[in-house]
This record gives sequence, C-alpha cells and structure tokens, in this order.
Amino acid sequence: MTVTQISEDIATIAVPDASVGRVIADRLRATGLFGEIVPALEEVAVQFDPLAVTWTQVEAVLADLDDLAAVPDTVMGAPLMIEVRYGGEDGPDLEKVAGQLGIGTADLVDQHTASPVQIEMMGFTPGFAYVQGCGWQVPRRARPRAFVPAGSIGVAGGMSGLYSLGGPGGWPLIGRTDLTLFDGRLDDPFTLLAGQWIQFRAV
Amino acid sequence: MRVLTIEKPGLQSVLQGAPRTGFRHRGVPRSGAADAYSLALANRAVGNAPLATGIEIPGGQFSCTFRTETMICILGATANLALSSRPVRPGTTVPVKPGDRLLISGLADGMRVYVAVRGGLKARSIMGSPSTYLPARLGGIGRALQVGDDLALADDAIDEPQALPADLLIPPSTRHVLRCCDGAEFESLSPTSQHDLFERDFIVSSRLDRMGVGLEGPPLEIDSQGTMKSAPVFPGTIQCPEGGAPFILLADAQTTGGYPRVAQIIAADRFQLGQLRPGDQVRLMRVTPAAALRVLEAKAAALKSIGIPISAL
Repeated sequence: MTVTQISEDIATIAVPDASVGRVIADRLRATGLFGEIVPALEEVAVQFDPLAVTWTQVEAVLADLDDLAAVPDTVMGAPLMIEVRYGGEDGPDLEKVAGQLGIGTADLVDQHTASPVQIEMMGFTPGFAYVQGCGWQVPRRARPRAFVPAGSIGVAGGMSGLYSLGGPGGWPLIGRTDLTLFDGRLDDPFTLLAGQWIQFRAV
Repeated sequence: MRVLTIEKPGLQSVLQGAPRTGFRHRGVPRSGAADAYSLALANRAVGNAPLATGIEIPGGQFSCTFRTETMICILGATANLALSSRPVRPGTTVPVKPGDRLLISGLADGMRVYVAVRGGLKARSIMGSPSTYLPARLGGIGRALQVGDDLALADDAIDEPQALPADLLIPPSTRHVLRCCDGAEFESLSPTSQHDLFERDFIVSSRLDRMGVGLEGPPLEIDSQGTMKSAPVFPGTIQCPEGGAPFILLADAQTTGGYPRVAQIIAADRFQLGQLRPGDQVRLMRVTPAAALRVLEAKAAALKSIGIPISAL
C-alpha cells in the first residue's frame, strides 16, 4: 500500500477499498500518534503534529500495514431500518434519476430497498453517511442546491448519501427519512457509524 | 458572570477558541478561529490561555458594552477601534470599566477582527471544543451573535497580562504569499497549469466564508470529469473543480470532497487564510514537506517565548 507525504503534517495511504481503510484506521488510532485519521474510499489520510512525531516514525507505522490488506471488516449486528419517503417533495430528482438509468421509478425504489447496504464512510459534514449504492453512475447536479433538508437521500457516483444537516448539496435527491442523523445537543450526536449496515424501506 | 452585551453583532460574529479535533472521520470540521494566530496573541496579551474563547468578527462591524471591569486586546484585521470614543491600538492590553462601549468600524485591510477578554468567554463545549460551527449549531452559543446577547466570563486567565513583542505583530496585507506542498492530485493539472499554479497572482473572489475561499484568475487546466471519489480534505487544502478556479479550504472545511486536491498550504501559513479578503492578491509558493517543517519549527520557537504552543493552534 503506497504511502504519500502530502505536507509536513498530512500523509495518505492508498487502500484497496473502504473496508480495508476502516480496519487500518482502527490500527492507526491505537498508536496514539495521530490527531486525525480519516478513512475514505480509496485512501486513509492522517494528520499529525510534526513537532511531536518525526516523519520517520510516521512512515514506519504507515509502511507496516500490509498484513491488514486482507483482514475482514467486523460485521456489526442487524441492519438499522431507515424508512424513506421516495419521490415527490422529499425526492425531487427521483424521476430524473430513473430516466437517466432507463428504469421506472417503482423499479428504482425496489432496487434501492432490495437488500441491506453498508456505510462505506462518514464525511463531508457531521454525520453525513456515504452508503454502498446500487452501482448507479448518475452525475452530481450541475448546480448544487442552496438548501437540502436534513434526512434527504441523494445518489451520485454509484453511492447513496444521507444528508445529516440542512444545507447546500449537489447530489440528486430521491427521498427523505425522518430519522435524526445528527443531534449536536446529545453527548453522542451521531446515529450512524462507518461500517454499519442499514436497510432502506419505502413508506 | 456577565461581562458584556452585544449592541451591533456585525455580519456573522461568532465565539471561537480551541479547535474541535479528533472527529474528522465522523465528518466534524476543525473550526476554531479562522486566524488562530491573532486570537492566540490577543489571548496572551490579556494573560489568557492561548486557546481561550474570544469573539471573531468578520467584516469588522461591531459594538458592545462592558458590564464589569476587565481587560481586552484586539487583533487581526485593521479597522477603527474605539473604547468609549478613545482610540485603541491593536495588540495592546486595554483596561475596561463597566459602561465602556467598544466600537469597531471601517475595516481597512484583512477580513476578521478578534477580541480577547481577560478570563475568556463562556461557550458551550461540544466534542471537546467551545468553537462555533454554524451549519450544525455546535459550540459557542449555538448561533451567530445577535443584538442583546449577554456574554459571560470563563476561567481561562492563567498569567498576568503581558506586552506583545512588536516583531510578532504582523498587520494584514492585501498581498499574500502562501507556501504549499503538492496535493494528492497535483498531477491532474496539465503541465502548463502545474507551472502556472506557482507563477501567477490569483485574486480572492467574493465567494468567501469560514468553509473556504475561491481564487480568480485564468482557469487552470484540470483533467477531471467530476468523477473523482470523495477523499479526505483539511483546512489549507486547495481544490480545483472542473471549471479550473482553485478553492482554498478554511477552518470550517468539510472533511471529504470530490474535487482534485492540487496543493496543501503549510501549517505555518494557514493562519493567513482567515485574513484573505475579496480583491486581495494571492501568490502560491511551492515548498517541500521538509522545508515546511523547518518553517513551522522557526515559527514555533518565536511563539514559545510568549507561551503559545503552535501545535495547539
């Protein structure tokens, strides 16, 4: 796995997929060397204090992860059911996306709710989840929406995205859930976790 | 204890202090002062811990009335500063009496003014940080400051007030040199644009907030069809969308993004980002990570003398 030093305090390791990235992130977290460890789809990025740890130390840890390339991700219990209102005001781009895929909207909903899917990574904003999609290669909107309501579910680049906060967003929207995905007033504000299984259900 | 009441909150003034670190893998931005250097210096002038919570005032329009006797220090963007009609010099420790009115107006250079109050200000700590992140209403008072808000004192005074060394007080300029290392997708730029990135002046666009700031100039040629998978980004990351206009990420930057990352501004220069203002000139300067570390070491040594650990900023 290739290690790249980006700047004096940031480095990345290329990973074969997100599940390997999550396993690597757990190992790196246990070292206590890094302030931030961000597993993504094709890499894990780390940020560290270069005045406290040397690049030689960091490189040694990052270069010693090959044994994890084939470690299975931990399976996390039964999938969390997420009830979704597809189409209409809640999913204003449903018909357009179905058109781009050359299928009917009912088929699109059937495919999206067919089986449990895994959360590949968390990112973008607090509690936003990038979820395994149905392989639908639909483009992002040319113009992002200025406001996407919290709970909206978008699809782009083969994935689904769950918007945890109201705010700007560029993914075509197919539905919305009432489930609170992030509540900053709670001690543990997050509903979802990278690696977790979820199941969409149409209501 | 109530220390001041907001009269004119300005555009989007917020409480900022220690950054929110260790949660980027769950999508939580860093936050903290966009120009952490100015706030840390102002804090040290009034004897506070360097990361005590203060007020960040973008656009430099602000007034408040003090309710108790205290000390303040103001730093950051250049503006007219007056305490009950007496002019205030930036970077000095100013004694304040109950009823005194602070008025900040007429922003000249830079973007954000910082007010530190002895003791620091009370803010709601979320995930280990009192800093405000408006999109999720985290930290601070959960929103931007409004008319009539009463702010209370925290307990972050750790030393006697001190005079700041003149060589540490750098007034903001309208021309910025930002040193950066090659980003992960630097090679996505055409050879010509790889050269141009470091050989031309960019202009700061009006698309500017705590999440990021756009740069204007002749478009860069980038080989990207908007299909890049979302990848980790940090404050100081320079993204280049398909249109070829670079975008610099700031303190409240998202944690992942789908645009090519063409450069990463070095840690020692990230504080400057909080003072970029529409119309300013920006020149990017290419350095190696090893050179970036030497710059950071030198800056850390200079700040150590007044009790600021640069790693904490």
